[in-house]
Amino acid sequence: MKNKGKKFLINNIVPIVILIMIVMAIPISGLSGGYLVQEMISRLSRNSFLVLSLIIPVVAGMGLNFGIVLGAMAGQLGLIFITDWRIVGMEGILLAVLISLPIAILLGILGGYILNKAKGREMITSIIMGFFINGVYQLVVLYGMGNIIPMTNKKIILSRGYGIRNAIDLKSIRQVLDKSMVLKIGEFTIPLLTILIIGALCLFIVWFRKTKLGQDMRAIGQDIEIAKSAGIAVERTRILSIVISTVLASIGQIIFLQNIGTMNTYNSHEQIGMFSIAAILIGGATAAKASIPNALGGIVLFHLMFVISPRAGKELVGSAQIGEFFRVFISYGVIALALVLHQWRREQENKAERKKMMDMQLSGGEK
Amino acid sequence: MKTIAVRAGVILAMILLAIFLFISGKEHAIFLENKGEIYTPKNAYYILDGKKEVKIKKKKKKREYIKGIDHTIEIRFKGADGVEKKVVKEFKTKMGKKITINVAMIESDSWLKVEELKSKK
Amino acid sequence: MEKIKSYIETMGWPRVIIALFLLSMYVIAPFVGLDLGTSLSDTLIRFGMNAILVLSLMPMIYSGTGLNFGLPLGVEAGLIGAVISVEMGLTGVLGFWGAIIMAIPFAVVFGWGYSQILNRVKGGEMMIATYVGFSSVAIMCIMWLILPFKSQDMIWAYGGSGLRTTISIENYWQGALNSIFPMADKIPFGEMIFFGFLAFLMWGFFKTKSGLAMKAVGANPKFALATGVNIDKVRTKSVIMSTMLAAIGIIVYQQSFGFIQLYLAPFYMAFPAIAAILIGGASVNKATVINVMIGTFLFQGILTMTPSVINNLVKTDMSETLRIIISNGMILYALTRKGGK
Repeated sequence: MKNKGKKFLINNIVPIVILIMIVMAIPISGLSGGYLVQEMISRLSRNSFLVLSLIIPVVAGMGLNFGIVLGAMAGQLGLIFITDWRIVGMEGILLAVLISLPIAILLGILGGYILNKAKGREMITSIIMGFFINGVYQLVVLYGMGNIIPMTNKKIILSRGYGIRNAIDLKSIRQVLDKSMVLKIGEFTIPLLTILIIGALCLFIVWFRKTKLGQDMRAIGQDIEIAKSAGIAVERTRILSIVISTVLASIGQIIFLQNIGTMNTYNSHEQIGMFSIAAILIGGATAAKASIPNALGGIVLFHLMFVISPRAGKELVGSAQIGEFFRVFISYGVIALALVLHQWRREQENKAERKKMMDMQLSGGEK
Repeated sequence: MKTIAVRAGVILAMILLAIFLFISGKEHAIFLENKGEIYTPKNAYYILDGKKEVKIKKKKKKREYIKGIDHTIEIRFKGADGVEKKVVKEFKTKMGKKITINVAMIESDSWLKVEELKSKK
Repeated sequence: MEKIKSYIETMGWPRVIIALFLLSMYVIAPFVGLDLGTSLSDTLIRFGMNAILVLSLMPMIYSGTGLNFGLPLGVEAGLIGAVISVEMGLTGVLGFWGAIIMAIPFAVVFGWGYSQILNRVKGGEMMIATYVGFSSVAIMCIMWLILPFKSQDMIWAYGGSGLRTTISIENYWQGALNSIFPMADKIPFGEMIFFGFLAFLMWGFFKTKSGLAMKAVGANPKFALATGVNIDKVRTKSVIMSTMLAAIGIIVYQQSFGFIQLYLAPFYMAFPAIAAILIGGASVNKATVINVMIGTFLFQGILTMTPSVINNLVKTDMSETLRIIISNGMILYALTRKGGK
């Protein structure tokens, strides 16, 4: 009984530690429970799709896919086009998804290919890959659009004649998903359609794990060599996992942006990678294991932290600026903490494994 | 062979869907004015595609944005004889065409003016 | 023919390709209106600015602690030293050395703390280092705002509190290293000699017993353990060395650049340094001084030349975007090479 409790603690040490920090910080910040609940509802509906898209690459042993930034950029390109062509409402969103699909697939293939060449250091490579593609994205959007790529909507072009503006108003599709079906419980508003879509993704992920492709990916995630000898096309499957993740990320980014209503052309996608990964790590996922509860729980924990820390910082120290920096510090510090705790946990698991092996050997191999 | 056919089919379906979404989701700007030949009501009211009712004063022009191709407009105003009129008409918006609706002329045939959109440089 | 081929193989194809690319940039330069002399001199100046930061990666690579993505930590220590030096009003060479001397204790403390974290996460150092680096920048941002500095050249005007984002050291110790040498604005002899000195120290260190122990810890930890080496202690030493060099590196950078950049400036500083050393042929656990020199030169060369050449070619200023593409592209290229893990 005691061992089980200890095991639970070790397995979920990260979310537990964060939860403690949050519980301590809430009273300091002075934010009301109702406000926090409503905030969490909108943030869940806004971010879940993106964070869930991280799960499949983890299953396939690719680590935490910082390359979801590529998907986010694909989604944004889709949104730029529908804004340029003035396609609105639900049709606009669907068309944006449709346009970003081929872009996301291409970027996913590229990303998967690059990551295959960097086996063993996928995570750091995907970070750099995100930066690199961001440069290419800038090239296309800041210099190509309006120039080589014809744009008709002058309102989104910079005053110099080419290049997209820094911020695009998405009022034509703002909250289209969120408002189309709404559930009101007490004082809380729940965007039903969005939640249903997220639910559909969860079901998809659960179903996917059971398919042959999903099983293949798990095998690769556990041991590449064994998977290879079992006849699995390792390289191709790995690329496929990244493609799926990138496509999901592009849809996720569109959902995210339609909720916010404005797109920061050059910034919106940058933080997405960091925040989504922070969220899933805080939810207890590791570079080797990630599940749906990790994703959803992590979003709640991370965003609670995100919302509370600037206020708590301000109450403690008295400056909003410091509160902002404090929030950045917490976000990154928490990722570092999660990674450290994860590594520590791996050490514990390895130690336990070795002890088990030794015990087995000592008691004589009974086969 | 079969997979190529399936893939081609899927891509074709996506393209068709995209075209459909493009056409049905495209927002068009249309213009409305209240300028009659014989009589112009002081205040006219119109409802486009079931949205909120808008008032358009005598001799004024308005610009509205509507989505898709098929539209209905419901217009009401007090005629010269003091009788309240209500007319419902249907019209289509096409790409590249500028549409102006003259609410005062709604009862005649010249209520809808369609012009070629001059391309701005 | 065979000899050339085997020579290229030892150099490594990536390096040869990049070197040829850089060479072509210099060749094209005059044709697009750039002065070759200025281009070369710009490259050398940037070499001088960045070489020590790249050098700082060496100890940690050898000890198996990975590529130091936590470089910003050392940079912050250097920034503290620099800011104290200006606060004290030190100028010229005194100001430069003062900054270094005051940065060292901070670097040692930061490095020690950093190493404690890294020693507990063997195998996952690089990712954690990245985030430790990021967090340290964020925490220092708060520090810059609340630390009680008074120098008028550093704090916000109109009675603000907290340090400015960019502090000019034109009147303090800009150019201190090169000032005693001729052609200071064209060829940075001072910086190159200082780099050479530190590089020589590095090279010498790795021939000593401690240095060899450090190499052993990285190359074969079990063997090192068997010979009685305390792995954690050696790793800690390497991390402190790297952090100290990074602190010195940023001070050299600033005296060349002319400005102290606080707040979010150090955020991404690890990446160009890592790109440079990888380009120079280093791997995740092996890096020589030659790697540092060639890598810094190639990297900074391309970073200087390509945007200028393309800008003049296309008559648009795309420098920032091009720099992102080039520097990250090069890191990607280096990360995806097989061999040398």
